[in-house]
Amino acid sequence: MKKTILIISVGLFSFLWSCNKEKSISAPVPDNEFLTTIMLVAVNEANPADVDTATWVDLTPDDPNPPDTSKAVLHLHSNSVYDVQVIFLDQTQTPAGDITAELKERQNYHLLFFQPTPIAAADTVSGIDYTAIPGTAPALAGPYLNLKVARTDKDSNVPPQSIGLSDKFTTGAISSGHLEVVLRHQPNAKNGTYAPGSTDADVSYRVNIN
Amino acid sequence: MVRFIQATVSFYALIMASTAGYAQKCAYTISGHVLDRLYKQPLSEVLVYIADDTARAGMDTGLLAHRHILAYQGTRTDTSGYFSLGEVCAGRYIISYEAPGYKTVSFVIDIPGNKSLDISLSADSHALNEIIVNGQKELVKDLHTVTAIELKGTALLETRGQSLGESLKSLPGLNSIQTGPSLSKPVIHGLHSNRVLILNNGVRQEGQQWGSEHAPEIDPFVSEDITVIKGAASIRYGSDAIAGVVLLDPPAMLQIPGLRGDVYLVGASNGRMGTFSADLEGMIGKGFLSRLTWRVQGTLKGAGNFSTADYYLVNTGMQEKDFSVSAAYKVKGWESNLFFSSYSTKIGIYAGSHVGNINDLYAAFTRARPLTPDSFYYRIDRSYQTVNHNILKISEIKQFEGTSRIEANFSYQADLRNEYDIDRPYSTNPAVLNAPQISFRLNTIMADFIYVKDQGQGFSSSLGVVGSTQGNRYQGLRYLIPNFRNYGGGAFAIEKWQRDRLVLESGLRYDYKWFQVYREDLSALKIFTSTYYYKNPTATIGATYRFNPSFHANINFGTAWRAPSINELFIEGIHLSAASYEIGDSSLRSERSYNTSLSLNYHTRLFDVIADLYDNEINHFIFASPTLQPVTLITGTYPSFKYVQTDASLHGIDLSGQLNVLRSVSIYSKSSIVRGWNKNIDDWLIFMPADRFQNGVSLHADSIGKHIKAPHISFENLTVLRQTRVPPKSDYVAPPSGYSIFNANIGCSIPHGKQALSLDIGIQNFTNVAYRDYLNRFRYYADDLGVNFIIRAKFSF
Repeated sequence: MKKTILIISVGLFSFLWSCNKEKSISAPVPDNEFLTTIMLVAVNEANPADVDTATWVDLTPDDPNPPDTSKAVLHLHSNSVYDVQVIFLDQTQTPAGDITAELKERQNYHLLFFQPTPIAAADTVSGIDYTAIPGTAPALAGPYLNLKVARTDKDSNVPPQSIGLSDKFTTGAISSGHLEVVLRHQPNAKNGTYAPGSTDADVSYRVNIN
Repeated sequence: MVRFIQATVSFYALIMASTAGYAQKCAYTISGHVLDRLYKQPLSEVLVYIADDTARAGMDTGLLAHRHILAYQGTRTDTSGYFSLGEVCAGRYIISYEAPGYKTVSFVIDIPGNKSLDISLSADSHALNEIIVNGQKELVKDLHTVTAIELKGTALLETRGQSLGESLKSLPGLNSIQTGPSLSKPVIHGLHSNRVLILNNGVRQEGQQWGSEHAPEIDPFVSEDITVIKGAASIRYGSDAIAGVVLLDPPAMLQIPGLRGDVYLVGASNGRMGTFSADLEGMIGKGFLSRLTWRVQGTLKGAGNFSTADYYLVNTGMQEKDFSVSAAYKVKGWESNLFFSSYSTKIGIYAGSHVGNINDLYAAFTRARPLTPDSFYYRIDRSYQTVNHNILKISEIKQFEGTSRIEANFSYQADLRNEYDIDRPYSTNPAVLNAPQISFRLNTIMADFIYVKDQGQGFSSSLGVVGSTQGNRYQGLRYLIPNFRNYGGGAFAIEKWQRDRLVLESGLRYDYKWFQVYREDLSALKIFTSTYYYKNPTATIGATYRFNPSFHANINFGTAWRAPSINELFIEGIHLSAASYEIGDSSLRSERSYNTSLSLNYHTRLFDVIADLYDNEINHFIFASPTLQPVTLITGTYPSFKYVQTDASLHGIDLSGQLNVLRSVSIYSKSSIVRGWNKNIDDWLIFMPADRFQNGVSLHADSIGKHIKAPHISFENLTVLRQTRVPPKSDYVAPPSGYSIFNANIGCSIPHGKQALSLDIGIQNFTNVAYRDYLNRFRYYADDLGVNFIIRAKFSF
């Protein structure tokens, strides 16, 4: 009987060991596009040569390494009107993947919000077609960032709703602060307000108006 | 070339129920012989007992159904295999035969009546190794020193249609950790996931158990008898069982030629859920394959959006398709078994729980009512998960003289889990667009050999060697865990000594685990390999003493260990359902638990009390701790959690009692209390179940009229207190307030010849109370389930 046990043991264990020759290394993942870069390109309506770009980059979007915000600064002139394009890129690929085009394809599901800070309590209004982010605390006292943002593009919902990839920035007196830009993903729920859906991107730029 | 062992175990019993001369009511005698069928040897020390069948039918309606109070009489066979039970009253009884190494056989007999019955019993693969205690057997069987409870019969029927985690919730000491209505994991004495071993037909379930939203990949319909062992120390099934073991045993295969089966139909109003399950088994009985027995079983389940007291939970539907096939062949002391089961499901994740970052999360917490539309549909949208789990098991048993035997078991299982986020990936490539964001495939092969020897004079021992290998392949669009491979080997020995009223048992096991992890560095395009070795013993020692026929006590001490799981070591990524960023720690060590349990059981016809006390000291207990250093990603800022170790202490009591006020009225009460303490910070442990109390009354009768048998009706109240024992700043939202809900059940069975129809109508939360449970992760976003009407029918033929 001992012999039987031995034969069975050897047999089964060698079978066990010979199985599972599965590859230990991942098969290559099909190219997924990451959001790595969000740019604001501002063109002065009065002077098309007056262009400024602010760039927020995180080339490793899935790990806790901090993003590169050294170029996330927007310089604008006071008392001016700017046409602004928001550009989303995937710079993990070469050439960079254009996420903006995909957002345009799925424009009925996306809505951008722009929140200047510090702001006065009177400017915290949010609701349908407002660009403010609900819950933003107003500053107790000035100076405030004198920046107003309005979306200029519309999607194909019925009735059409704003998207925010194209915007009009109106500056006031000389001031500085931050601008928080949030891309909301609101599949089948977009209603012009902030609340439905989830956040795809949430980045912050320094803004100098001079 | 693998050689197979075949084995058969059977014994032969002849029972004669002879009537006394005058038909006095309690003057019947049942007697007979028990023989080993193969060797025609008389079997001594076989327990033979009868229990009042009508009493059982009534008792089953109570929540103490796992520990019946029965009118019973028992004896043991003498050296010639003879037994005799005198002074038996007329009536219907369940007669049971129990012997170490044999699966218990029970069937119904009517007294008076002349019967000559052939029985053959199948070998019990758990006998002596896993320790199973349950009420009915406990009364006469003095084997077990570990606390265990069982879910079967009417009590199990009343959970049909629910997932495994939900089904076990009514047992004292158990809870479930939930992620919405369809994902539920069992919690034993405050511990869950990798610390609970689940055995599906003797196969250690190996899925992606580490995630709290990864429910066990099991169809509860495969089993007619679910046993939960509370406390550490699984000698036979290896490491990890720090919390306990859940055993799902399929019914014993048919022993006589023929065909039988069951059909279950369950409909529930909440989620408009429908479940259909059927099994069919048979024995050929003729020709070459006359000894072949087989069973096929399958389940279909579908549900749409579940609803709370006030609104629907959008996208909480689910679909499930399962089947299993088993076959056994016995000849001349050899027995071969084959088992295959397949489980596949698609489960929607509640739309209101999807949060992109911490701001969305806080916004979701403050809403009194979620923003999601309040509508019903069966469709499952993103986000959802799909799971496939297949198990193949082959086992061979060779039975020797007496109860000695050799067993060889081999199993293969494959688990594939895909998780789809609410957003499609940003890509124009259709292959990427439809790909799951997270995908894991885990393949596991296990083999074991067990030698059981009856040494006589009350001693019995079992020895075993086991081996396993596992490979995980991760294929997601986002990184979460790396690939790994492990090989494990172990050996164990269990020795038991039984004399009169005392049972002593001890077990020892030693395991070796080799664990290699393959991490890919995407920027360097290199693979980093890390190798870990774990070498640890598991041990248990226990005693049971029966002071008198109505009182006995078990005491058990066990020590078990658990190697850190892959997520605890290497996870790095976003858990979208929790809006948290989790970071593993590759330097974690194994957990080691020291578990002491004492179980006191007092049974009489009138009164039944069971108290289980336990203390589980766990060194290097691993849990996710907030780092207070948020992680900034492009999608926003996330709170981060890092896996850390601490020394923890868990203790508590499970108390249950039943009072039979009248023959047809019982009052029952069950309480589960657990306390967890983090010794390193000298504060409470997070996510421990709140104190839970179930009180009810049940009315039952033997029959109504000619056709309706065992009618019963019960009302119960479930009260769960607020969990106040949490460390400060440990959770996003304070634990919800306590709640109190009411449930009712009414049922009966209608036998018709060999067929029987069992009906059960249940109403859960019939006052439609809106509440949130601390262990439901979706309590952040929405209420728990509202009123639910359930109709269950089981037709046996």
